[in-house]
Amino acid sequence: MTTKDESPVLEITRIFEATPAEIFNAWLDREEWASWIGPEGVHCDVPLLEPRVGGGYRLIMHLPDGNIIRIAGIFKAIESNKSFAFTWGSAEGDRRETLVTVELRDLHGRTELKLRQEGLPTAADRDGHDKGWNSTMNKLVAHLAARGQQRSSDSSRRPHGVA
Amino acid sequence: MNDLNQIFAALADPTRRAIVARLAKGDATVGELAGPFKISPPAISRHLKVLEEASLITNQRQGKHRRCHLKPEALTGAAEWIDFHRAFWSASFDRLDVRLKQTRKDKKS
Repeated sequence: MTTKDESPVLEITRIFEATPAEIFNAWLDREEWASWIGPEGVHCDVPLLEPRVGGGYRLIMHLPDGNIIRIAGIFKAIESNKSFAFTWGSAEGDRRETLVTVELRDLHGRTELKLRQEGLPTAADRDGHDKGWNSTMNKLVAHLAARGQQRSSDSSRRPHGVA
Repeated sequence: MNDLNQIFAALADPTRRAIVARLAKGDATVGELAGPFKISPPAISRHLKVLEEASLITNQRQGKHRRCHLKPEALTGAAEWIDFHRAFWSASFDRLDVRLKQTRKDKKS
């Protein structure tokens, strides 16, 4: 983290033993996406995925405790086997919407995937109707932490040094 | 308008993070906050103003002094948002990794 970082952005980089095309298809094909999206133990349905600019998708996460998180968004950009971007937000009246950009870099047999998520809600949103969303998120985070599935290779520009 | 962008911008500076860390232990006057830093009182005041505008702190005049108070609730939204999504994508990528390896195996056999 440097002092230049002024906007809240989540960045995760991961290298996969696969070609960019294989990863691209794993994201943009509805059934493929449903097969891996979401944490282990959290069943996800993808009732809609339209892999074109302006096309929408819907994602329903079934948490182990019975809670459900509904996500929806629209594809903003798609470049075959290279990159794509889509909006990501709660489908339930919460105005919180973010932009997720995924870039694939060919490493000759392997592929580096870079995910960037940006765009944060206003304080007014946070203080109002999204408390349920936050508490559901917290449950999922706790669930994941308990399973020890967080990887050290992930990075985010989260402020640290604060108590 | 106070939004999370403003909070992150406020916390991007190491001096301001140190001020927040100090206030997490308890309220302090501007003079007490300036103590550990080798910067001028006006510079400290500017940092405090940024933190105030991001709704991270408040201050109240007490006689000659201004007393600063941390509003930790301002940090909650940003931290939760990032924790959730980092955990979500990270765990999803674990599964994608397994899935891709499985697909390759299936192709070979």
